[in-house]
Amino acid sequence: MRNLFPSSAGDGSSAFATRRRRWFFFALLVVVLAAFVIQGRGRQKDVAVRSLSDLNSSKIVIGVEKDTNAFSRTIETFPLATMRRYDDPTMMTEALKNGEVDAIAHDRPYLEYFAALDPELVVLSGSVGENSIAVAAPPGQPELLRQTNEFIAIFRGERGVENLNDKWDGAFKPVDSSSACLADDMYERWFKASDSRLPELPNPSNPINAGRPYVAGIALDNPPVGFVRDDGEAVGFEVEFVKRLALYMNAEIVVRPLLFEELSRALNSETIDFGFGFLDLDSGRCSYAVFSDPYLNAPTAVMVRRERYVADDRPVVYCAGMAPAQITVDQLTFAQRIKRSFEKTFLVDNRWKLFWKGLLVTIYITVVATVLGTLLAVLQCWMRRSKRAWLRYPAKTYIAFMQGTPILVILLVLYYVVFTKVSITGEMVAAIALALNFAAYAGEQMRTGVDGIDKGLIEAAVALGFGRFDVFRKIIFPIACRRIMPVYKGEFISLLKTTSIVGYVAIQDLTKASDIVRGRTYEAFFPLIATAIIYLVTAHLLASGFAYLEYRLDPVTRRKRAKGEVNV
Amino acid sequence: MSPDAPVTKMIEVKGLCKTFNGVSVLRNLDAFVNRGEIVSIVGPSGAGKSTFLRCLNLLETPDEGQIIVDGVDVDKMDVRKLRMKMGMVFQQFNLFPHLSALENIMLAPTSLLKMSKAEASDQAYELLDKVGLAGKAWAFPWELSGGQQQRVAIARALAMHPEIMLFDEPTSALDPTMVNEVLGVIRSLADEAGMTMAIVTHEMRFAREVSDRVFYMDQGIVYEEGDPEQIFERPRRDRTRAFIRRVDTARFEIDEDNFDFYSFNAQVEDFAMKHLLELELRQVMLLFLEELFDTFFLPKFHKFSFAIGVTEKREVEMRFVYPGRELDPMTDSEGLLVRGIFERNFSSVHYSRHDDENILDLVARRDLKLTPLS
Repeated sequence: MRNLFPSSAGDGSSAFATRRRRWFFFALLVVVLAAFVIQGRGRQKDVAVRSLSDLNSSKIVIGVEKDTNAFSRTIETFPLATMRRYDDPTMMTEALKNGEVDAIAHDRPYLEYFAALDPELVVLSGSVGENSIAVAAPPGQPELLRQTNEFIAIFRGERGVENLNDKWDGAFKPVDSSSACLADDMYERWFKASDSRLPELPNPSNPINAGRPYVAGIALDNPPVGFVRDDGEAVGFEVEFVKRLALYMNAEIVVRPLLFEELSRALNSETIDFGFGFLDLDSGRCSYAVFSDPYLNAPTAVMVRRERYVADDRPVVYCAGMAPAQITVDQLTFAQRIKRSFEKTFLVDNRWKLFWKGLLVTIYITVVATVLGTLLAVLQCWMRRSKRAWLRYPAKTYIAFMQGTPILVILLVLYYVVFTKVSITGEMVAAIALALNFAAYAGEQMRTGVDGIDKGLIEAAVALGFGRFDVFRKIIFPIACRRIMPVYKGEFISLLKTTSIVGYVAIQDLTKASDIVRGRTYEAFFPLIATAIIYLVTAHLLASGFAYLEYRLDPVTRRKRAKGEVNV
Repeated sequence: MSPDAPVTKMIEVKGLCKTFNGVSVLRNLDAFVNRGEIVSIVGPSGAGKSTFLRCLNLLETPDEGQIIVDGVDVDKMDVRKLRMKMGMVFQQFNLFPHLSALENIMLAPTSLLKMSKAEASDQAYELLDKVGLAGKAWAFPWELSGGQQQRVAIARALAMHPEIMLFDEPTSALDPTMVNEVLGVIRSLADEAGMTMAIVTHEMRFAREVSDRVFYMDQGIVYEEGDPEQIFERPRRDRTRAFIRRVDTARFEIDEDNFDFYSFNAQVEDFAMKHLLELELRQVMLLFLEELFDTFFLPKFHKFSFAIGVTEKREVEMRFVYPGRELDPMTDSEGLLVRGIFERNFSSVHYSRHDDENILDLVARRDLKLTPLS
C-alpha cells in the first residue's frame, strides 16, 4: 500500500516553494546574459570594399540565402570568398549588421529596400546574375494566365494602353506621374523608398466573377513584397500588383495569406488561382505550376556595411582593423542595446499587441486541444482496455499511427487534405491535429494508471456491493487520476510547446508573431529570446495550475482541510 | 449462538464445482452454515478454501452447483444485494489508498445505502472505536500497520450491516506480532450474538476457540466437519488426522553436488522461528543436523530428501527419505556413528522401507540439550 502514493508523505505546499521560483529566474538570467555575450562577440578584421571584384578574396565572408539562384551565382562569381548560408534575407541582413559576414548577396530589390531602411548599408553597383520574377498559376486556367500576361506587358511599359482608356485610371495610374511605367513607379515606392502605403485604388465595378472571387495566395512573411503591416493590413508590392490586376481583369480577387513554403502545396491542391512569392521564373521551385511572363527583373546584387565601403573615386587602402574616419558608428552600451531592442520589438507600432494576440491564439489552441484530446484519450483508453477485439484493435492501430507519424505531417494532412473543403478555422484544425496526437499519448498514460491499480481494491469494492460504474467512479478514477497527474502535466506542457508549429498553416500564434516582428525589425536575436521567455513563463504558469490540482488531489490535503489546518 | 433462536440454514451449498484452467479446485462440495453460527475452514493450501468462500458472494462464478443464502437461491438474487448481505475481509486488507480510515468506512454506506454523510461519519467513528482505532480516523492506509489496516477493513465491512461475515485468511499477511490484535477483534465479533461467520484460517488455536463448527477441507470438498473438539482431538479420517498432527512442514531435496549448507541452515532456522521454537532448541537442532549430514547422509547418499514439521502438540518431527539398499541406521553397522545422536535427541525413531526407499521418521525430544558428539 505504502508505495501507492510515494510522494504524499511530503508537504504538499512545497509545489509553491519560492525557492524553486528563485532558481528559475536565476537560470533565466544566466541564459539571457550568455546569449548576449555570444551574440556580441568580437568583430572580424576589416577589409575595405570598393567594388564587386574586391569581394573575391579569401578574407571575405559572404552571406547568401540557401537554395536560391543568387546562391549558386555568388559562389561562381566569388570563388575565393567564404560562403555562409542563411534561411532568409532578414537573418542575413542582421548577420551583416553585426559583422558576422562582410557582404550579402541577394535580389537587388530586397537589398535596396534594406539599404533604404538602414543608412549603414550600401548596395554595390553591378550585378552577379539576372532573375526574372513572375506569377505562378495552376495549369488548368490558361485564360487567366493570358490576361495576366497582357497586364504584365502594360505594367512593364512594353505595350501601349491607348485602347484601354477606361482601365488606365484605375489599373495603371502611377503615383508619381513622371515614372516611365507602372513597374518603375511601384519599384521606386516599395523598394527604394521603403514606403509601405498602398495607393488608394477603386474596386472593380460589376466584376465578372461577382461572388466567386479568384484567390491570390501571397507569401506575407516577405516585406516589402508581401507583408502584414502593424495595423493588420496586408500590403506590399505584390498586393498592389494583385489589386491592379483585378482592376484590369475587372474581377474580384481576394488575397489569401500564405507562407512561402505553402505556395507549392496550395497551387498543387488548386486552392489558389495565383501564387505570389517573388518567384524566380526559372527557379523550378514550383513544379506544379505554370508561370506568367516576368513582371520584374531582380538581378542578384551585393550589399556591404557603409563603414566597409569606399567610393570608387578614392584610393583603395586595405587596412585591417581601421574604419574610415568619416563614418561614426554608435557605440551603445549593453543596457542601451537591450533597451533599443526592447523598444523596437515591443513598443514601436504597438508590436506587443502582435505578441499578445499570438499568445492568446497559442493558449486557445492549447486549451481546446487539451480538452478535446482528454476526451479522446478517455475513449481511446477505454477501447484499448476493452476485452472486445473490435474495440481494442482500432485503438491499437490509432496509437501506432499517431505515435509513428510526425505531428507536423498530421497537421498538414488535416489542413490541406482532410479539411480543405470544410469551413473551419485554421486554429480549430490545429487544435484537432494536436488533440489527436495528445490523445494517443495521454490515453496510454491513462491505461498505465488504470492497469496499475491493485486488483484487490476492485475486488474489495465489488464485495461491498459496488457496481462496475461506481467502482470506476469511486475507486479507479480517483486513484488513477492522482497517479497520472505528473505525466499528464508533462504532456500538457509539451502540447503547449508543440503549438509553435501551427505557423506552418498560416496561423498567427506566438512563434509566428515573433517571426513577423523579426521580419520587421531585422533583428533576429531579441524577438526570439523574448518569445522563448514568454513560452517559458506561460508554461510555468499553466504548470503551476496543474501543481495546484495535484496538491488538491493529494489525500493528505483533504485531511488538513478536514482538520482545519489549511484553508485552500 | 443464542440457544432460543430457531436453527435455520443461513448458507447452504449443494454440489459446488469450480475449475480454473482445467484444474479442478472444488469438486461437488456440499456444506451448510446455520444462522448465527461461526464456522472455521481449515485445511492444506490448495484445498479450495478461499475459492469456496469467494463463491459464496459470487466473486468467483461457480461452474456447477447451487448456493442458497437465507432461503433464496443466489441465481435468483440481485448479485449486489447478495454482496451487501455479506461482508468480506481479505488477506491483503485491500483498503482504498486514496481514502482515510474514516472515509474507507463511510464510502459504501453513503454510496450504496444512501446514508447521510453525518450519519455515516457517526457510524464510522463508532466502528473505529469498536476495533480500537478511534484515534486513527484520519490516518491513511499507508500510515497504518498491517494489523491496524485489517481492523479498519473489518470495520469497513461491518458498516454495511451484513448478516454474514466472510474472512479470507485475515491474518496470513500479518507479522506474527500483529496477528493477535486482529484475532481479538474477530473474537469479540463472534461473541456478539446474531452474526453468521465463515473464517478461513491457519490459526488452529483460534479456530478451535472461536468456532461453533470446523470444516476440514481437502481435495476440493469439505472432507470432514464437526465441532472443534472432534476435529482437533478426535479426527475420524486419515487426512484430517495427518493435517492436525503435522500442521506445517518444510521439505528439502538435497543433492550433494550443489548442496549449500548455509542456505539450508537459514531455511531450517526460518522455519523454526516461524513456529516460535525456542532459541536453544533451534541451535541444538541445527548442530545435530550438521553432524547427521556430515557423518552419515552426505557421504553415503548423493541424493536424499529431508522434511521438518511441527505438530499441533508442538513436537518437532523430521523425516529422511534416502535411496539404495535397506539400511536402518539403528540396527545396521553403518549407522554406528549416528546411532548415539538419534538416541540422545529423539523421543521416537521409526524406520520403514517403501518402494525401494528408506524412510526414517524422527520425533525430537522437547528437552533437547547441547550434547554434540565426541
